[in-house]
Amino acid sequence: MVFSSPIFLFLFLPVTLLLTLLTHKYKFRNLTLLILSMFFYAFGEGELILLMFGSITINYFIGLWIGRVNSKFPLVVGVIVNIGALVIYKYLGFIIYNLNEVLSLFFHYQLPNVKIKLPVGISFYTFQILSYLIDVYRRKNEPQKSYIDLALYISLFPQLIAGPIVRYKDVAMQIVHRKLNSHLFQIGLERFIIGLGKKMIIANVMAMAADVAFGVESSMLSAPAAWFGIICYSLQLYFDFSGYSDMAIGLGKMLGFDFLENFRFPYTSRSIREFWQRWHISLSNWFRDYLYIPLGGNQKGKGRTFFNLYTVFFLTGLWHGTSWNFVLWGLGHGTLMVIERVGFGKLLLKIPPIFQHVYTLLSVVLLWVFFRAETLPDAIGYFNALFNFNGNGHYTFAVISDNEIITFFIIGLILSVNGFNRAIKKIFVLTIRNKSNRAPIRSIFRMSRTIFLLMVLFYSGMIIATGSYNPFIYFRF
Amino acid sequence: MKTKINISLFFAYSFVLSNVIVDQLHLSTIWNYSISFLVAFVGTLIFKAKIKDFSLNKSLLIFTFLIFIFLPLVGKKEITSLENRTLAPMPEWRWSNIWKFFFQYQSYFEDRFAYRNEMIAGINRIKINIFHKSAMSDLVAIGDNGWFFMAKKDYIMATSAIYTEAQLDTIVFNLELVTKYFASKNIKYYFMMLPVKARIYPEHMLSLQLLEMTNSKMDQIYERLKKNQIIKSIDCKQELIDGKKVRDTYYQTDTHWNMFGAFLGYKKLMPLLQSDFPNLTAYNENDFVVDSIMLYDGNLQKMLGFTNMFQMKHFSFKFKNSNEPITITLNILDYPNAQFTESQMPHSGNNLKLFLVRDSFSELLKIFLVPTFNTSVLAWTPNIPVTAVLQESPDLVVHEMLELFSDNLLKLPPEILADQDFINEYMRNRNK
Repeated sequence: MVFSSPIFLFLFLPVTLLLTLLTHKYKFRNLTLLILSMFFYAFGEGELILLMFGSITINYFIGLWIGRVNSKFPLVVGVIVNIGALVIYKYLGFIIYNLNEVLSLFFHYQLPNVKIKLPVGISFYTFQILSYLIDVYRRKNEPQKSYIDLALYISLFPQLIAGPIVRYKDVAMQIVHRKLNSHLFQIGLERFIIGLGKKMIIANVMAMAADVAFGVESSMLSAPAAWFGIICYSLQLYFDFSGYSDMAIGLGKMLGFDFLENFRFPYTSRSIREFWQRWHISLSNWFRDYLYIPLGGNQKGKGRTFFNLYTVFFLTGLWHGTSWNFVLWGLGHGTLMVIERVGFGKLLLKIPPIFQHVYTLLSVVLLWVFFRAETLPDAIGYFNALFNFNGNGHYTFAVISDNEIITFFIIGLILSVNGFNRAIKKIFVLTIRNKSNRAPIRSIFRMSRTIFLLMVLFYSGMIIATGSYNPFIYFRF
Repeated sequence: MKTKINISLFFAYSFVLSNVIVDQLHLSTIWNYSISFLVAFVGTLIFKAKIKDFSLNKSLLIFTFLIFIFLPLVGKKEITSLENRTLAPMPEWRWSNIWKFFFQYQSYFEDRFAYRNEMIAGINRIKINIFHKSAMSDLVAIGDNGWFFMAKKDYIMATSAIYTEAQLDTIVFNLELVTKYFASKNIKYYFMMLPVKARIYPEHMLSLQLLEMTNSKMDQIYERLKKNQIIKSIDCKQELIDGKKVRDTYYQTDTHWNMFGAFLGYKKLMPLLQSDFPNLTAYNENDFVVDSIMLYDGNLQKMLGFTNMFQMKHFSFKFKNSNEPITITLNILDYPNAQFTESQMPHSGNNLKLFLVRDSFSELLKIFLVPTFNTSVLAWTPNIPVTAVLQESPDLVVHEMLELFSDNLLKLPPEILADQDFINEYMRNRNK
């Protein structure tokens, strides 16, 4: 089930809010939330919920085992079990395909290909489980003795299928003791509506142009259309992903949980390094704390640092999907990180900020081509279109755009760099300056904000009701 | 003051919500309002105790949100589909079916939640007014000057994909075989494929959709049929394009041709039929009183949730002589999913019997075609009902088919396919 579906908005969410408010004792509340989270997953994934249940059960016992003994062995078992499940369900087909490609060079023998349905969210909940087990091993938190509470941490529906990757230590207290009040509910609701609007009003509209640009043969695409398409895709990805995170954080607050931020205006970054401090923060932090630093981080010489960076970005790419395009995307970012570390980063600081932004945005946007294109030849074809090696295509800017796409393209560009918030704050400050009685102006601003949010809610809700174009981009994660 | 507004807001929302819920009990109006009032009143008293925690902004946001998400859950379920399709049924709960149940229930709920159609109409109204675009642009595309077009991906594929040479060979072979099969039973077979609206009004289409629909399956088939001497086919695309100079030939907010378009199709068909049946008399435009009126109608408009937002021009062709055919419905048991009707026209001036294999486009074509024949049997079915044709023993079969369904021609009717002796003999003769 996704947040942007009628069954979530008009059935699951009202029932969840009702039942959560009716149950006061935390144990009942957790059990209720767990059952609801299971329904949430079962509605989208059916029998794959059994896999998640199995994973929860095994990891419950492994967690207790790690807590009882002073040995690395149970942690190794836990890591093998979880990474093993991830490899089988997510990467086995990819591995066999590539092995067959290699085998075909030398032998006639081919391994039988397997088709396994990818459980949505497996990458997210596997990383959450691993963080739990590693933190128990590092004695950063106690093993969870309550099966229900651990199951709730892993399967909690707001962050189950698209993150953010919540670490156990960040929510351990909230699982057993959390506040539910109208103030938090209001803050959470505002955040949820903003996220819903980002997804339904901006991301989905940007997807229309991006999908046409990436859906036609690249030789049919004119250079302006190709640039427009990739910028639309960059906006789609940001508003979809950050919108989903906003909805998760908002829903969490409405239910009494406090999740960490996952995006902080990444397109305002001045370097790739900064970009990764602002983009999918929970994933970057996970890789930093559970892979980069254990590998030695930047403490073991330059060569080792570069190797560690490449390893992290290779795996970051692979985490996003089973295709060499994702690996290339990851390695592209890894290479830029290395280049910034060998001196380019210092050089960047000396040039005007506008050029820093141009360098970062251009790099990020061009690397998204690998992320979006289905295959490597598709990505190369798209680069050809971007730099007009194809001549004039039939699919021009005018063909792939329309009034709505252009309107939300401009709005998206402004919002992606925090322009709207800054402008509103500036207007507010200018309006109340030199005013002795500021209360009425403050009230007007607040009321305008509420009405604006309600308009976003109605507009998004009505789009959801149409059941029209609503891509789900996390199915590969 | 703020407190009073806050309480009024809460009372109004509680009243609306409880009213929608109580409405499900089908009580009399007075009971309905009394219970709703009571619930809202008690709720407001409880809320009053907590009012300190609620600013006006907070109340407005939270209560509006709650009513927005609860109303579709508790209101009356939708029973009609805007897309003219059967709504998903409530799935049966069985332990053996448990995983499928979740998927099926989702389809059921998402088809039927309350106020769905109103919300669809609302968002389409907003988007059309602001962006001149439907909110379901993957279903209905809004072109220039109020011309609507079907924009479903599978519709575009079904009309605009490129056939392989082998597929075209199969289609021609199948049509030849059908022609010969009916000829062997003394029945003449005529094939008439009709173009989708996009072929006649490309000037009103969005350039993106125009590019997606560049190839026409109908054009590919007719290009191949030009070389064929056996199949008697009628292509009225050019007449429908030329006819636009006189009147529109398709409806603006519907996928179908209008009555003038149907008349042009009839006019193109009749000379071919008359060459085989000289005693057939075709109607001319002079035989009709032609009027035009503006109607709030159209299947494409309805898909967007509208009933009276856009008008389309409707031409009515009324016979000057009010000779109405007598029509009865036939039940032919072999074809439970097909609709059969038989019409008699005693004053047609011939004894010919027509069997029309039709789709929705013949709804208007039949107005001209049926009175032309003494007897007409109309079968609304995607495939030729060969057994029914043989049972009715007509003089001729007219097979009208929209370009959208052209892939049906890749398969032979099962009755002909089962007649292997006939196919073998035909193959022998063909190879000679």
